[in-house]
Amino acid sequence: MNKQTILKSLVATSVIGLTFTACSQPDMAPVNKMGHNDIYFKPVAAPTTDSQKKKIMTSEEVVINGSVHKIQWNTIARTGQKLPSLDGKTMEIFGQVKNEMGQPINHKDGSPFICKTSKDGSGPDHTTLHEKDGNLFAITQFECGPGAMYISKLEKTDNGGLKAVATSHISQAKYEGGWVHCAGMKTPWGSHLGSEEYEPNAKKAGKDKYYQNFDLYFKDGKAALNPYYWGWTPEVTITDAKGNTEYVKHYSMGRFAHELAYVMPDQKTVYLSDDGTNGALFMFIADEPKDLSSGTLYAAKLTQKSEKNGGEFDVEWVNLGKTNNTVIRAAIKKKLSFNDLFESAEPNGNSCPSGFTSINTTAGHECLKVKPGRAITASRLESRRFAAIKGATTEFRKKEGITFDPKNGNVYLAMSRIQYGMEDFAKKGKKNDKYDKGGNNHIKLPLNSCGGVYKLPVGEAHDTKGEMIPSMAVITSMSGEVMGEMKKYPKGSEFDGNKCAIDKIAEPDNVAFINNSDILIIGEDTGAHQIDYIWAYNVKTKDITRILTSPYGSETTSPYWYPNIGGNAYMTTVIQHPFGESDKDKKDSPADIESWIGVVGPFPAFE
Amino acid sequence: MLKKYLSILIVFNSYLFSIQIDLKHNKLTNETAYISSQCYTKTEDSDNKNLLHNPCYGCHTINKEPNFSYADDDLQTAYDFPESALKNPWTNLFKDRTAQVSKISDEQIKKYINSNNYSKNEQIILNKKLKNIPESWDYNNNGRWDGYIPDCYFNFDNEGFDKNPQGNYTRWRSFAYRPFLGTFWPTNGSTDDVIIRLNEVFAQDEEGKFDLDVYKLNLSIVESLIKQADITIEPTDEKKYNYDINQNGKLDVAKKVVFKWEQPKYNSDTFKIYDFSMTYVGKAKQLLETNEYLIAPGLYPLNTEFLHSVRYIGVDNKNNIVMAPRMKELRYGKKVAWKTYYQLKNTGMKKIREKDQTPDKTDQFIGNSEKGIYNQLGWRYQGFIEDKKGDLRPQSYEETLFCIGCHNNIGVIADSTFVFQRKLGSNSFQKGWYHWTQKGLKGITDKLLKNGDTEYVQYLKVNNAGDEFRQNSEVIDKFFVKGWEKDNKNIQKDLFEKLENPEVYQKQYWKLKKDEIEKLKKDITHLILPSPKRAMELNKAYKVIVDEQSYIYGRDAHIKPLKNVHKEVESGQSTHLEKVISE
Repeated sequence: MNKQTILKSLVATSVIGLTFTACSQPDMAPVNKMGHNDIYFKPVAAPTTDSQKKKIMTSEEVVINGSVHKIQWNTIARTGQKLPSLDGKTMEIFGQVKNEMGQPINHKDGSPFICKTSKDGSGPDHTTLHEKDGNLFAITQFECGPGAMYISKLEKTDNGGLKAVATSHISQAKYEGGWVHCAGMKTPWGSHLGSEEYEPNAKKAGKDKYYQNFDLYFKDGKAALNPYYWGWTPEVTITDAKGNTEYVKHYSMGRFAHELAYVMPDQKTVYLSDDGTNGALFMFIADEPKDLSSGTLYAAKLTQKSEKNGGEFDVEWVNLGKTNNTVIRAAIKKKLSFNDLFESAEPNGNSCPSGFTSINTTAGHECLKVKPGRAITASRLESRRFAAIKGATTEFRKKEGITFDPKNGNVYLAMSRIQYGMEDFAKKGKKNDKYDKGGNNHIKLPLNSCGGVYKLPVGEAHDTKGEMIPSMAVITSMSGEVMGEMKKYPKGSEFDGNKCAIDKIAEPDNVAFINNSDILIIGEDTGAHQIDYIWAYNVKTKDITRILTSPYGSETTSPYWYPNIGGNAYMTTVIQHPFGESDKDKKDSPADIESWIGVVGPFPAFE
Repeated sequence: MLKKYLSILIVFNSYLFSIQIDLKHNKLTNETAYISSQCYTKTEDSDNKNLLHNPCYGCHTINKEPNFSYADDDLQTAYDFPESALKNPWTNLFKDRTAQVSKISDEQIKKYINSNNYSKNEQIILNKKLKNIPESWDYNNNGRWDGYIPDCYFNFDNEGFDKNPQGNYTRWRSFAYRPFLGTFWPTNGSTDDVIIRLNEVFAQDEEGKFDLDVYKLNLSIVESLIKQADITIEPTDEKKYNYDINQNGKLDVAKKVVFKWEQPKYNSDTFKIYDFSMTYVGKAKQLLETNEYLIAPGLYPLNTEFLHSVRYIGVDNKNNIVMAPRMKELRYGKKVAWKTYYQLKNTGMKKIREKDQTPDKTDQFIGNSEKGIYNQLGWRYQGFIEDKKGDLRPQSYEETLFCIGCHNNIGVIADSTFVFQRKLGSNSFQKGWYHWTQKGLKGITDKLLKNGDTEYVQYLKVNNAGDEFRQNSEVIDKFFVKGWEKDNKNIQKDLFEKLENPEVYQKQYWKLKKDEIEKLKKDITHLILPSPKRAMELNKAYKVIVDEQSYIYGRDAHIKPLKNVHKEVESGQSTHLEKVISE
């Protein structure tokens, strides 16, 4: 038996005999600061009973370099919770959406607009943890239209968890408010980098209810709306120990359905995922480290080498041009319309009239021509369409989380589903031209509705025009690493109702890497497993362990790894609760309609 | 060996003739049981492509807020199902019941439908059963029934109030309404009723004592909120309730509840909503001030309950169509969570986004056979249905999921309900508060619409039949000119006129019989009640489904296989319909 097998068997049987290193104590000695750490989570079984399905269940123990640590779920805050503001002068409702004047938005029935739970349509998504001059903070972004961001002051609890003791709304009014904030990250320089997902289609924004709902945000109501206000990457920096913040939207990084912008350790290279159907994969190289306001945007062009296990691809990068926030901000202020940027024509079957480029993106098959002098503006305001015109791949389906394993130099990218544009002129295995008609059809994979996580090694590379890309962290290829498997369980069997194999991932959403280890954390957002799981995947041994199960029907979002917050490591996650209703006579408290933000931990500090 | 074959045969036979009902697991044979059988109706005529039939608009129409079922009218134009629903799972629709029906005599079915399966000797049968539940009904194995225990005696007074055998009010109140289009017309299979109840605090004065006047006024206030309209009431002293009911700026005698809503304020220190322009009265008014209960246009107060009995079609000794004593189903709904406008709106927004992003994902609903199913809009629904012997038993999860399709996220509902907004007004018998057993449907006029048409007549014109499946030949023969389907000239003329001006009012007497239409306008029973002969056929056809317990494959009463229903549709297949937006 090698060391690893011994450790695993010990964990599996919860054996005594190992030292419980500072279990339940907030101050644990930091582990292998620089070197490698062996990490094993005690697995959580797939819940089968009703009561298990209603709970958040996490690994009870983690073994790090042979020492066992007890870990648990710790709630930081729940939506709707009332907390004093950071300055202590007023009370705030965590998740209350406010208008451009900073006043709470209420509806015609008098109810406050609180961004609550997923099944009400929205909820908190990503939370980042921060330490500023010895004070602990969390920044939480809410997935609503209009969106919201809150900064909360945290304290450590007796058992090493974190809890919010005060919270304040972060105004986004200088940038026309926030839009459906999805995943995020803490940048290497310590700021909160957010996202605005599912940008309104400027060609027909009038039909978009989320867009129309922004009349609640502006003093001038509907008249104030413009689709190009939203679909960007906001950054929030804590400026002092009181929790004051600075807010900016990075127009330089393009406008699309931002799931996540992930900054690499070089502090210049950023990968940006575009959620939804027929999206692109973007890369941004900042002109200066730690400054995302100016730089060059690229879009990936894939060449398929194999269709096995999620496929293998070469990745090249199409240069979409260099610009900065100021230039694009000026264009937005002009309230440009779609027709100011493009000339459109009706497609003739699969092709386009001469002079127009045939593309197939989230908006379907279109024939477009960029108007003279509008290339740079279009590259940012309509990044996906512009990338398609330039020959990039716009066939990704539900491309979600991104993370990086610095030791091995691999980016990991989650694809919730391999379907539609990623298939070869098919829709869910059946012949269908909707998603590939008039497009490039670079990706021709068999259907896998359970999705998978891809490995994308980085290095140096030239762009498609032969220019050297000024980064050492350029993705050059992509291949399936850990894939879900479509499976039907027999009627009436224990796992009946699951559409993906229970012992494998299903529709991965966000991912996180525990640096100085081999552990890739994979969160799910799926209807194919009855319960969403979070998994720990060992990139070396390929073992996969279930480490968290969420209540029935809920979504887990945004797991993220914090190596050291106030002397402990934590894994953050948000559980958006499904029980939009609860009986008075039910044991579940009425608060069950709220979402949780919280951390799994405490782990010993890693850095 | 023979024994083995025999036992296999027996198992197979018992499956064929009666389905085993499992109330202890949430298993789904049809994972889209919430998409009703009517949604598979063929909208394009098999013989004439220019001939289109639109039964869809009855449910799928433009939402009236706080119903936030966005773009629901679009569902008139396409079979927009998730992939797993493309093949029609309602296989009962295609069965020929002729042989089974012919085995049931008129005498047998009359005896059957006239025997009461709800109450016996003034005792509610289910009430007794549920207080000592069989193990096989106890979903969560706690030895107790955690769902609704029937407590309405169907013993209504001259104001529609139900009283128990001791003569006490149960607070259930029956009301009369224009039956919902199509499937709920007796001529299409069943008779039914709807009964409402508010929580006990709505029947209490400020001291917490029972007060019938308070309850009546609260019910009228709720009626005003749901209809979003003024409601005539008996002259009421506003001073007694300290509420300007007629909203004329002074406390005087009100003759109506005036519907006038101003956005209330929100106190961000106490986190309470206050300063309501409309309120409840009595104890409920106090509880509104503490926000224990809330109020808003288009919404019922928390804990509102509905009871809906679906019954066989009875024929009395004068050959009149009446409600039969026997219940096919007893359906129950309770508002268990107050959903604010914001929550309802976001549910609506999320639905359209989900449909866009994950069109093949099926809807998931929490619940079980014991508690019922939560519809995501604050309501819990459950039902009791006949077992093989005809006794009411709880519906399985799947059988209840069937109810959720309509009581959830469609344009026509008001706070998840269908007919309280269709309640008859104060100029009706007992001011519209009565049960069909007290006075039948006879004499109710067809509702006048803004476009000059009347509601049921419009349905006949647009759908070219009186039922979604166009199988009800009695209605077709009675109202439609023979051979009208071949009148291409008029079909085209009306189609073009409609395309030009969707609002245009067309009499269509080339298609419909004028005399019959005139009779219908004055009395809806001319259309919606079947002949006694048809009634018995429908009763028998449904009884076959009861014998089989095959509700999960469809509970529509018909003898011959339905022709106008798709067995399979393509993803996003067009219905070729032009939208009809009823007022």
